Amino acid sequence: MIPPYLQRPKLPDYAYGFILAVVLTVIPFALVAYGDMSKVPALILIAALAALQLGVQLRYFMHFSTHRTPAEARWAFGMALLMGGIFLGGCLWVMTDLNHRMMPGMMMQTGAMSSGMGH
Amino acid sequence: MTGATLRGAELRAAVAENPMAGLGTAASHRVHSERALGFWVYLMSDTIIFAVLFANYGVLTFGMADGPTPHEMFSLGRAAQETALLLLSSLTFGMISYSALSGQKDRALLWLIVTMVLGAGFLALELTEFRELFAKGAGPQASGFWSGFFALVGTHGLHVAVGMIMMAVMGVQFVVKGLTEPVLSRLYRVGLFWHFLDLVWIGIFSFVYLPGVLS
Repeated sequence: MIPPYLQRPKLPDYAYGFILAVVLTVIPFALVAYGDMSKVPALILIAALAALQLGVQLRYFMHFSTHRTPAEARWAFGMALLMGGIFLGGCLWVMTDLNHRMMPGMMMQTGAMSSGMGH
Repeated sequence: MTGATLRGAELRAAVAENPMAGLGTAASHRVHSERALGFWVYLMSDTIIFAVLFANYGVLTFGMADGPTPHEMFSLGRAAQETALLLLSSLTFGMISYSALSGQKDRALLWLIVTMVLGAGFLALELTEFRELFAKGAGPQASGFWSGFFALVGTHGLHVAVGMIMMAVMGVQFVVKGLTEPVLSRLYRVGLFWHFLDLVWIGIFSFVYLPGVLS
């Protein structure tokens, strides 16, 4: 078996990867520059296109595949995704929840409650 | 890697497809494959660093402390130019790999220089942007938001600068050592690094610049 670092990559791979990456980049930029989508759906679409492009570049530029990437590296990749996802999702979840709980309206509410209990 | 060795027509077909496949021995293949794996594990730990920096940025998104907002400060055009340069450089790095693994040293060197010019263009744009942000009072000290922005985008920029040094070293080794097995093994790892930086940049334009301009 030829080790990956001596395997010549295939030119069509780079061509497909580049064309797909350009399309997946132009769409979100055009969306922001010329689109009139409301904010939340636009952000979701941008995130989905980013995830797609990550997959495209991994596959066509980094040649991530079962026969070129060793199993250990694929496991490390899965682990990094899992941990990164927990960090990102966890931080955003906990901190937005905290911000929400510290809203001025909520503080007034608790203030009213405690003064009510005082009497 | 497996004990089986190719013979005759099979070997000739394999070498036509992979001209540099004849380099090294089973033992050296094992050594360099382990290095590739080690480098991959490093990249995954770097992924964790960037995940934490993205999380930090996300948490501080609304922490602008009545200071400058990303909507006022970000330039969509410049973000698009930076994206174009980095994406093109990822493609031209692929051309370095292809040329080097075809045994074409001069062509590989030429693509290496093209890639470095594109990388330098990216860094120049980013430094201009940082300088303008500082001048407009949107430095990292302005608010939590700008601290998070400079931590994330600055770390990526620092990686790109390190990648430029790596490529300069590769260029010297192409000339001095030629396309030997250790040089090609190193080029493979530098390639993983460079393509990885483009992956991180997808996250940066999708979660920093585009939402910032949209807000």
